Amino acid sequence: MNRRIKWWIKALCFVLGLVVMLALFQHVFVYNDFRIYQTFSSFYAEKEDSLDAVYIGASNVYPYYEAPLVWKDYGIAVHPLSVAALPAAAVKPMIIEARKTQPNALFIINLNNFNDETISLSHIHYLADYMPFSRNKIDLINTLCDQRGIAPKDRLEFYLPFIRYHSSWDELKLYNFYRRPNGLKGASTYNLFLTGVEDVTYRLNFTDERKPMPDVTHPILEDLLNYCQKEDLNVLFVIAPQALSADDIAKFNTMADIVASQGYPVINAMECIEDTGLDFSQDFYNGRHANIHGAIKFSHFIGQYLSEHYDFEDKRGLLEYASWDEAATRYIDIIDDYCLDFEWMMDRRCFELEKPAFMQAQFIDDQWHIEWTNSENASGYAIYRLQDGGTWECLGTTESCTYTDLSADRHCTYTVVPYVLNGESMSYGQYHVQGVGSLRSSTDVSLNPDNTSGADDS
Amino acid sequence: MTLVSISFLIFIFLTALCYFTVPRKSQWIVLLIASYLFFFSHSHWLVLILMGTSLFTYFVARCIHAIGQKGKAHLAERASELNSSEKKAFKAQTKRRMKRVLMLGVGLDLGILLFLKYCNFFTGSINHILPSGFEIPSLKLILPLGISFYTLQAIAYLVDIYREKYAPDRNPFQFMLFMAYFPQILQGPIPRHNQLAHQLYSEHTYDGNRCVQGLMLMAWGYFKKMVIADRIAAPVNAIFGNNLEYTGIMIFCAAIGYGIQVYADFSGGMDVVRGISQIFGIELVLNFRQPYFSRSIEEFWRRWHITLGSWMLDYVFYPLSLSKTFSHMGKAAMKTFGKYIGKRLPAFAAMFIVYFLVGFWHGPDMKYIVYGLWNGLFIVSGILLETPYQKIRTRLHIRDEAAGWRIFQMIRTFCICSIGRLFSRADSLSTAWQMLCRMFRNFADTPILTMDTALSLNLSIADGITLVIAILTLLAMDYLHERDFHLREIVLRKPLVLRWIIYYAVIAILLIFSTYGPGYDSASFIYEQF
Repeated sequence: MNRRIKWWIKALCFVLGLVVMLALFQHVFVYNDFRIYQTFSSFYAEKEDSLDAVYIGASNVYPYYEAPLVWKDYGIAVHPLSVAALPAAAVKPMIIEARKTQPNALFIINLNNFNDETISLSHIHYLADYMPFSRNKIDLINTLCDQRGIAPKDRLEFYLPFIRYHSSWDELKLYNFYRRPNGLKGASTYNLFLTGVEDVTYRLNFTDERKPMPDVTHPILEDLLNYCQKEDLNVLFVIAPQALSADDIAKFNTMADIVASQGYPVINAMECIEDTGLDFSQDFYNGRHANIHGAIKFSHFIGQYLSEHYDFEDKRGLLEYASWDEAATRYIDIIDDYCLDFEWMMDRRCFELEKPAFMQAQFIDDQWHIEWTNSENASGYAIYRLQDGGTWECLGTTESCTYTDLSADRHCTYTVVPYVLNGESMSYGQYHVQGVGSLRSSTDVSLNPDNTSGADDS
Repeated sequence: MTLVSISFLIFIFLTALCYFTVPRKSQWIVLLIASYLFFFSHSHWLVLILMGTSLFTYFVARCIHAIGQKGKAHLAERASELNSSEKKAFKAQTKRRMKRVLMLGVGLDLGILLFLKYCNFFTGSINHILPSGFEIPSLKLILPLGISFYTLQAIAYLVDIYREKYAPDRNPFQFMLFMAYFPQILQGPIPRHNQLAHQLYSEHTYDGNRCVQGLMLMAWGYFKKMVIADRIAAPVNAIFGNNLEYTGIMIFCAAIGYGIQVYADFSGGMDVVRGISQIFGIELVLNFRQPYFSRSIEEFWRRWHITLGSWMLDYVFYPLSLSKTFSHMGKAAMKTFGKYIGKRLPAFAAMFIVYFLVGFWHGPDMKYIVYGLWNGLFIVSGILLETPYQKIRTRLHIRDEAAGWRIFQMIRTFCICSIGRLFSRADSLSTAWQMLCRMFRNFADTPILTMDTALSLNLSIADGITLVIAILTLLAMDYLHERDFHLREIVLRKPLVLRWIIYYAVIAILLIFSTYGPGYDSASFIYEQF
């Protein structure tokens, strides 16, 4: 063979090797956000045209909606495609992306992010880093960069994200080298979501007022609606509940009006908060995001809406959807450590039963004595205990409003759940997720500080 | 388009592709077009200044040569008619005419440089003397890319033509290429016409091994620039930018750090430039020969920025020190200071002028002039004190070639150079002087490196470790070069698999450990600004 041709063949092989190396580097360095990686990889792993719906939005999706829980209750396959701080302008490209593999799905679009006009570099990376290369990805990057004012010459980092992340070599973990989808269908498992609780009632506002949408996102919403109409898409809009200013809520109302005026269904959760069962004093980890307790309720609420308004087949137990069954089992295993054992069993919940307030919690003579207020219509109360490093365990039930734990450790927390009897089964009401005791203290008990401090001092 | 950008690498690839695709006799045209495109991308319409300078120099050189040739022809024609004194007179007359044209050429080339680069320095200096209200307004001038480098190239060319070292170029476009050759226009080297031109104009066949060697040299250059220079720049800039907050020992460390930075940056750039040229089959002159292995400042300047040093030697030092004026000065000094000083005074004076010019060449600021003179001072004092030093060494039984003594000399030279660079790096002469004073008065109040100081220097532990390993690698490679051990050639002789593993490892190291991308500014080389 001609020497020159031989050299060129070798050069070509070398360049191919280089491309493989670069791809490897992209893989190791770039996907360093566990949650986003899991959401995208799980979505792309779904079989073509297999999902009932795709839930698109920002961080107002994944802490509210957990796909395995809806699957468990309704057998509906709704996969989230949500990224923190998803810019409004990215929603349309996300729908286009989702339609590539799920052309017949219902698109559930969260509108909360249409209230936010800012786009940071990270926001663009969140999307660009995890999306496979396509014309749509180029359009997405260009749209967001144009909005952010990033010059074309500075956009290379979005196509080759390694350029941005290469210097983080000292932060690489084993996970970066070996990772695969966790099979939880994009469900949240981050620590703050599972353990965080904040009473956000102090910043909660409800209003019927209407205020103009932000100037930047209004035309984006109009464009999105036009696109949905042009493509004849099956779309459902959702506004997730948040503890925000009255101004923000008024803007959400306007969004809901705009969407409804185009004939699209919209769930404005702030207008039907009682139906969701959400408790702003304990179902959020901050004003903008629900925690696991809120997510269980909101997922059920969305699942119920979908089952009532759409003809989705219950696919539980079908061989092709075995991964969804598995995801539900595994996800419940995970959240079980952070919830009471009945919490995710929506058929055994009775939200009408109000949570009792703790009146006393004292540790005297190696025994915990707790007292709580009566919950109207309750047949009795289930007592749960959390010991240091353990999970909630049910100690038993009582019909009175006091309980003494004889085999208690000093470092314990208790909560009581009112229940009603429906024949032989019990339906559980609301309860204090933080409980009372030495590990945590509920807001109610903090009203009687002498009692709790007494418990600690004894 | 800078040397450390992806667009530049693509530009090189496309140029090389065209270079080896077009007929060989047209290869220089590809380089000419690429050079002007590169220049235009940097300096836009200032390209006209380069073009004008090139054409003007070309015609002046042709004119000098024509006068010389005409004189020779005239002499040959009338050889039988003229006696020796008439011949001598005619030759001298021809030489004078040539010199007049030379002065015109050099004057204009130098004039453009002085006007564009130093105009505001001169007017600023004059404004210090003038009463307020009569100041000369400063001009907003933009420098064309590489003007300090190509002007010296043009002057050397004219002088060499005047000295009849070689014949001038016939083709003006080829000469334009010599002046604008794109890899070297940013920061040199400053080649002579007879070192580079014939390589640029001649035909080159494609050689895979030569290309690989060139690419390896480029990779080494990028390693020096992007792994060492740009990484060490962060703590160095932090200390120089906020020097009042640091003790003498930290200022000393910054000076040493800047010494490493400027070497890695400049020599790294040179390696990239030489590597690119190698791909085209062009061997550029060496500009560095392991300067930090120098045992004296004099030796250092023979190893550092070699082409500037040799330019100064050929076109400033020798003409001055051998001139009649300096010779008279030496004789006069001999009568006053004795034979030893008198003999050396012309050389010392010429040396001071050379180092004054070296400093001034770096930029229109007193700090650069002092930087140049700092070096001149150490060289002259080194020569003057050589005898007493020798006596001390003998008394202490120190052998000149003892390893310990050689290492001490190298460290000493490195420290003197690095401390001298305080003048070129600091914001102003007064800041440099303050830093120098504090280095000796307030050496160490606090430990050298605590976690707090490390954080204030923008230096993470990982960066620190990377830096130390990279500097040791640089030192090891320089040591190997010093021992005439060329790693590139050894790698090329290895089996294919091993070679490729090495190449991939080098690329991986560059990709991971280089400072590039968002948050880093590895766009400019230090010597680009000069």
